[in-house]
Amino acid sequence: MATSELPSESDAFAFPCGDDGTTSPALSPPVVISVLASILERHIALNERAMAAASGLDQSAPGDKDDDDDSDPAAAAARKRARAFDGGTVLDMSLHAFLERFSRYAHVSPQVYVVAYAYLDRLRRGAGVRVVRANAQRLLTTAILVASKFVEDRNYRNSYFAAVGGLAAAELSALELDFLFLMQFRLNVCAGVFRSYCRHLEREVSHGGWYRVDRRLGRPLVCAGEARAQQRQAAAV
Amino acid sequence: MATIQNKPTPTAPSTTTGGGLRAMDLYEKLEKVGEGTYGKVYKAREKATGRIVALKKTRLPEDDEGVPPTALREVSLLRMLSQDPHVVRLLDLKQGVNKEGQTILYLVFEYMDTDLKKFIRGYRANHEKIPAQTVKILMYQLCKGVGFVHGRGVLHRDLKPHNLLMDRKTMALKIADLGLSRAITVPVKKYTHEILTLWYRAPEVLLGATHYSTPVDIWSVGCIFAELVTNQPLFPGDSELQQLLHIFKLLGTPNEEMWPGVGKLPNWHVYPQWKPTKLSTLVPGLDSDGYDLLEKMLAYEPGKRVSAKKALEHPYFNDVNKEVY
Repeated sequence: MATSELPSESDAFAFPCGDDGTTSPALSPPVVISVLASILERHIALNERAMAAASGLDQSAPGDKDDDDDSDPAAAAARKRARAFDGGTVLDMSLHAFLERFSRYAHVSPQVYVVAYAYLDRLRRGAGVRVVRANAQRLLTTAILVASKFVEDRNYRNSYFAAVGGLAAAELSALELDFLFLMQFRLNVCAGVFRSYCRHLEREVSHGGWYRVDRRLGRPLVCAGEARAQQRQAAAV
Repeated sequence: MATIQNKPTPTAPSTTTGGGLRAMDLYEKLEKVGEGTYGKVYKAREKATGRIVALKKTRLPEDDEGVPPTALREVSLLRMLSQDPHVVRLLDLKQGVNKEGQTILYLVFEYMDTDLKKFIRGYRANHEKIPAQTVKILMYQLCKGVGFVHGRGVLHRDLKPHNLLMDRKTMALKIADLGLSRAITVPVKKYTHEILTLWYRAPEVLLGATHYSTPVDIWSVGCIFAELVTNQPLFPGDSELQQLLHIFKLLGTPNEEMWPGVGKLPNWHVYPQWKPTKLSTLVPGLDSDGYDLLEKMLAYEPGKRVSAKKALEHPYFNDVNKEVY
């Protein structure tokens, strides 16, 4: 029976395919981890430069006390939560090696990395929290933990994630709450937004970015939802 | 320093820390009214406004689990879904500390005075049937709410009478307890099969399918529909195998002809070959349109089960005043 109607957005997830997330080489852990590490390294470099520039401005305006403004209790609470991610240890390995640990030891799926990246993007837009060297270890560990809890039906304990991320268990559990409140618990990533982040990663791959991916991958970095939508459109023609 | 209480608004529930005040200092607990997927539920009065609310309390033990995935999912999904009149409204979220210094999360919900389980039990105790028109308007609201939830890419995965809140006066019905829900917008390898209270669990889940979708909730809706008509659960099994056999005894053992691919599901075995019983025998008291809709909700093949959206268009609901619900 032929249908002339194009699949609606809701059809995109009506019947997930059996091999979602496993057969597409573009969504394999090595590719996603490498691309994310590259993107995040660049973000950190940009953010560090921006902080240095802001610090320079601060020196010429010693009276500026915006950071200590406590007229808005909600904003003050958010800043306190954000500062929880600063300080303490700094990563003693590359971002790539750090991210890879979650795939190797906690069997985090590629989709979880993409969702974690979406969360970091939301934090930047919403709470104004940016990834820098001082917070990267804690922020990334927590983002991956929360994304894993939201996306996967089976999860490791916080204590295990803490060990993988090089943190104390109690610290990670406290950071988790801070992260959730900073995100205002907005954890859902709809199909279209997920595809947009996949495309973002695809552009990073195709342009080489700071990481050159073996061109023999061939297939474009298309998440499963879009692949299904394309198949349906082809079938409808 | 005490934190100023932000007044919650329907469109954007606030997420606030209690500050110097213990979260419970803002509310007066009136009585414990139940347990959700992951926490105790209390009827409470908001001291500042006198409003009656439901407080769901979840304790976060130190170190090991952190925030339960059930709580994390329920809050995030309800933030997205609470705008629908047929999904329970999440009003606020508070982080507090109990006397032992443990962190506690309080979810503040609109209060609903009963649930469908109690409602059905009340009729059963009186040996009465729920009036046909009441069954219809409850089912209409349920299909509408489920249609909204599915339209947003969310599976509830624990639809049952206990999780459907009601207001006795208005006959309003709202979907609650999204602790076992999940988004299906991000493709993942497999979903757990340990979802859905056993009596309302779809056959594809019982047979071990790890990729299921919105039809699992529709199966639950069909079971609830039958229960509203008869006051008795339709498939009250007490183990996974018994649940499956119960379904097969009543609806007939499925085969490849009626359910292509059933033989490849992980838990499929050779089962006794039962023949189906007529729905009118299993669920006496419906009209022909009702039986047609129920049959479509309990289709074995998930792809052939009616969607919630399509169910709303079924002739069974033609005489519902759709402006009101």
